[in-house]
Parts: sequence; structure tokens; C-alpha cells
Amino acid sequence: MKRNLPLLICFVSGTVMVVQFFIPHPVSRDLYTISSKWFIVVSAFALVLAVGNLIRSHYNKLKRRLEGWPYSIVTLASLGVMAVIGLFFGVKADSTFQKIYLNIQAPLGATMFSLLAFFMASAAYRAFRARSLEATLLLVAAFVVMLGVTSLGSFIHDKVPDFAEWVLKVPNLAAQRGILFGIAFGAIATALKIILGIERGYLGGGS
Amino acid sequence: MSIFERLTKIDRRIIYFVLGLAILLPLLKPWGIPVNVMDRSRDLFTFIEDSTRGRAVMISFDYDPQVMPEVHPMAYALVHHLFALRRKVIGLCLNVQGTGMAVDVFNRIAAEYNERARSREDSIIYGRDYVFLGWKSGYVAVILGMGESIKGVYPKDYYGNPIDELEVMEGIKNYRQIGLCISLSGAAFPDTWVAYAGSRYGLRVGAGVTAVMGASYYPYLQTRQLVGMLAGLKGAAEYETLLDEHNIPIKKKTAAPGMDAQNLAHLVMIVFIVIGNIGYFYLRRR
Amino acid sequence: MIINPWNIAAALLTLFILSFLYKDNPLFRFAEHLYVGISNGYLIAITWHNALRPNLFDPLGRGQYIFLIPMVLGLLYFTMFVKRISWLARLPIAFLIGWGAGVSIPAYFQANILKQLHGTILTPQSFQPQVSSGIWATIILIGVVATLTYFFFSTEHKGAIGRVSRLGIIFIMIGFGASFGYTVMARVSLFIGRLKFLIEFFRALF
Repeated sequence: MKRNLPLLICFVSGTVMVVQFFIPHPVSRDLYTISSKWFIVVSAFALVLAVGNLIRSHYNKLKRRLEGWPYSIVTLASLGVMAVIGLFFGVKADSTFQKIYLNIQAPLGATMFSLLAFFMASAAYRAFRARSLEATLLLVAAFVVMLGVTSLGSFIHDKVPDFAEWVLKVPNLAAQRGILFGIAFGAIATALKIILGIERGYLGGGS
Repeated sequence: MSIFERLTKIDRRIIYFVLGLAILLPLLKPWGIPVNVMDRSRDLFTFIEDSTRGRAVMISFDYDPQVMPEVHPMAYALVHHLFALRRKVIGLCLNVQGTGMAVDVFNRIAAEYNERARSREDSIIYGRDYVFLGWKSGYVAVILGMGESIKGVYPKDYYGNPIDELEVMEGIKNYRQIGLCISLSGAAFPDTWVAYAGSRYGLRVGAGVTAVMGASYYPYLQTRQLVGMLAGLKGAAEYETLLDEHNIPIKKKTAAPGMDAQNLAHLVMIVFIVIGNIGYFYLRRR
Repeated sequence: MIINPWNIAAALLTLFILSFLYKDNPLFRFAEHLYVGISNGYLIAITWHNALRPNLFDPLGRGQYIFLIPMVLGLLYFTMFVKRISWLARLPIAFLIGWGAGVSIPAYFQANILKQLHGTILTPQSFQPQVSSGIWATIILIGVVATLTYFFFSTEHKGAIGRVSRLGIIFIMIGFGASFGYTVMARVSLFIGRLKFLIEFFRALF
């Protein structure tokens, strides 16, 4: 029951969704429309659960006075304040909620990611060595794109941007397409394994 | 330590400092190097101009604030273009963190237009010229559901107005009435649009993505599954240049002023990698 | 830019995060935890206003009791916290995973296999209007086959297969190089965005 019921639900929902694609009958269409509405609702609960887990983890850290526990107060308090402001005072364009988003959340997120520029520069300097033909090709392609996609290339030669476009549109495209085929076949095979109950990782451990 | 050994062991703080300076100086005093426009950006611009006449255009704000410096300027430029062409614009989000981005873009660009407007007809009005539907969880179900009925997925807009009461949604039931959907994203949302809305419902899809993802979307551009693509801040600067070329004025460009810094930073990166390799080859030969 | 408490907060927090470039410090960790808290609080409010209220509670309020099914299914997630009945949380997961897998099969097949195959095959039209476009199309075909051969591990990469797979790695390296070039561009752009904000802020301040 504990394993078979989820496997049955997975099989039925998966099979119905594959079959309805090929049978445009009103019944299959209705089933598809209703189930997609259900999907939206169930996945919303999944997000709430994710936030619940975050709260639980920080609460435990706080309770056990684990290392860095004062920061958990920051997380929990800011989470609570933001949620209350949004839930009870609205999310309109001129709301405090939107102002916090634009002036606190957005700068924090964007700056956090912008640090990567420096880490990448340092890592690239250390790791990119033209040790072999393959590594040299990688470096040359990177340089061509870095120069050709920006305006730098046209200062060297007016054909550099054209060459960069060619690299992107021909050899790069071929490699990306090969990888895309691999991903697509892999995704389809995994989806089939999930529907047929061969892949059961999502059930987690236990009986 | 020989000089060549030193070349392979430059302290990371020096790299940080030089790169930071290479970005800071051109921002303080820009040189105004012209922006070259790539084919994929021009294709998106042309498609919007020529192939969306009389139809609504969807913009899916699928990015979060983390990639805001790259994608937000694209959103400004695209919404600018669509408002200038008087296309009906339908905004929505597949990424929950994108809602605030969309609210900001629509507000800012609509306000810019309305400052110049001389009459109500001339203005950009919410509900008449554009709508922001907001976000729903379960993005695959959202894309597929809208193929049958947009109202079925979005009974109300972001602000809680029933969408069938909005003038902009008159006559728009599903993707059949949408000329193009542009997914602005820092993750794999454009290919989700292509896979679900493009192949099943024939919706034309364009993309505005972070540069990291740029190279991987070329297979879709060749098959026209993506009608065009803007990649990174440079893509946004290209679009601003295209707007300039077509005499569509932008009050404040947000991407083009950063291009000098972009150029110099690329040069610095290349120089550091070359320096590292010079040291490496000398030491290997020895 | 007009200086106000909001952009002062934005500038300060930007500097807190950038301080990590020197080393990890309490200001950075404060900003980091603030970000996690605020973005999750944001998620809760939007999930309520944009998803749960209009797509679940409004229809329920109108008497569409069929929506009790996804509601119960969604609530089952929370059985995770009660060990004895925690297995019930597998039911909504099974529904989402099965549904997602079911819709993905035809979609991936059409968009990423059939359409992409269509873009790879060579026809006389590939050589029009210019012969060069046909030559590039031929290179693409060779590149795709070689890349796929490189990832084909059911046969040992020796002889002809080995040579084709070696060609594949060359294409893959060019592709990765192009991606790396673009990645440099992306990361630099992100920092440009933040620095532009700080410059505007300090110019307005002084």
C-alpha cells in the first residue's frame, strides 16, 4: 500500500497524460484541463512545504544554539515580516512589499551573483591552460566569442564578429544539438521509467 | 621565484582589483564604443515589427533578481518597443521571484510614456493596453493550461481584477490570439516554452536570456523554434541600439552605457589567461 | 536618483555583500541571511495572492468542491512531519512526477528530437541561396553525428568510431569554449549592473 498506491497514482497520471496527447477527444481534453488546474494547486503546496522546511531548520538551529544561530533570527524575522506585509497589506506596485523587494531583495540577490565575476576571473586564470589540442580549442573558441560578441572584435578586424557568429552558428550549434539530443533521449527514457515504476527514487527510502 | 613562475601565481586579490578597476573606470568615464548588433537580436526585433501586427504579445518574466542586471534592461527595451508599436502586452511569470521585476518594468515604462502623452488615447493604460497576470506555480501546467484557456489558468490578474473585465483581454482566449511570447529568463524556461507551447500549440517563441545560456540556444534559433534571442546585457544594448536606429526614443538607456566596461573586462580576462599560459609554457619547457 | 532611506538600504546591503571579496565577515552573513528570509517571505505572500487564493479558495468559495481533491492532495505533503503517516506525502509527489513525466514525453519528442532532426538533415535546399550555407549545414550534420558518437558508450571507441568520437570532442570543446566566452560576459554584466547602481547612488549623495 505504502509503495504501490503512489506507484499506481504515478502510472495513471503519467499514462493518461501521454494518451491524451494523441486522442483529442473532449473527455481527454477535459481531463487534461482539470488535471493541469490540480497540478497548479498541488505544486503551490509543495512550495509552502519548502518554506516550512526552511523555517523548521532555522528554528532548530536557534533552539540548539548551533554555530551562527543569531543569523537564524535574521532569516526568521525577515521572512515573517515580509510574509505579513505581503499577506495583509497587499502586493501592489506602490506597496511596501514591492519597495522591500526592489530595494532589499533585488540588490542582495543581484550583488550575490555579481561576486561570481571575480571568482570566475581568478579560476579561469588558474585553470585555463592550453595543455592539449582540446584545451587549446576551448580557449580559442572562448576568446573568439569574448572578442566577437562584444565590440572589441571589430577593433582587431572587421571580420572577427562575423567569425564569432559563425563559431556560434556552426560548430557550437552542432555540439549543442548533439548534447540536446542526448538530454532529450535521456529525459524521455527517465520519464518512461518513472511512469512504469522502474525509477522509484522519488519515493524516498523506507518500506 | 622566477618571473615566469610569478606569472602563474598572481594573487587573487590583484586579479580582483584589476578586474574591478577595468569595470569601474569605463563606467565613470564612458568612451561610447558603438554596439554591434548580432543577427539573433535583429531577428527578434524584426519579428516583433513585422509579424505581430494586430496580435497581442506575451512577455514571460521568468527571471529572478539575481540575474536582474542582465535581463532587466532587456525587459525595459522590449516593453518600450511594444508600447511604441501599440501592441497589446500580456505579462506573466513562471518564476515566482519574477513578479516584482514585471511590476517594476511595466510601471516604469508606462509612466515614461504617460509623461509624454497628450491625450488619453496617447497614454498607456493598465487594463486597456497591457495587463500583468502574475505568477502561478507548476510552470508546465501553466504553459499547457493557457493553450486551452488563459482565463482557466489566470482567472484574475496580479492585482486581483477578473481578467474578462479587462479591455486588453477582449477577444483573447488562448495562444491562437497571441503573435509571440518572449521568455525572459535566467534558467531553462525558454526551452520549456518551446517544448510545450511551441510544439503543441504552435505559439511563436522568442527569448531573452542570460549570456551563460546564450550558446546553448543556437539549435533552436536555426530551426526557428526561437524566432530570435537577446543574450546578456550585450543583447539588451543591441536592442537599445535597434530602437535608436528605428527612431524609438528611450529616456534612459540601461544597458548600452555598460558596454565599454564589458569590453575592457573581457580584454582583462583574456590578458590574465594569456599571462597564466605564458608562465605555464615556460615552466613546462624548462 | 533621489536619495531616500530605500536606496540607502540598497547601497549598504550591496556593500555588505561585496565585502565578501575581502573575506567572509558578519556583515556579509547578515545580508546573506536577510536575503534568504525576505525571498522566502516574498514567496509565501505571492503564493497566496497569485496561486492559492485565485486557483483554489476562490473556486471552492463558489462551490466548485472538485478542488477539494488537489487541496487534500497538497495537504498530504505536511504528513512528512508525522512519522507514522509520513508515507502519505508520497501521493502528491507521485501525482506531480507522473503528470510531469507524462506531458514531457510527446513534448520533448516533438521539440527536441523531431524538430532538431529536421534542422540537421541535408536537402538540396540546404545549398540555396548560397552554396556556403550548404557547406555549413554539412559541417553541422558531421558535428552532430560526431558529438553523439562521443557520447555513445555501448561500443569501444576504437578504429573508425574512435576517429569520429575524437572529432566529436573537438566540436564539444568548441561548444564549451563558446559557452565559457558567454559565461565571462554574463558574470561581468552582473557586476556592471551593481557598480552602475553604486556610482549613481554616490554621485547623488555627493
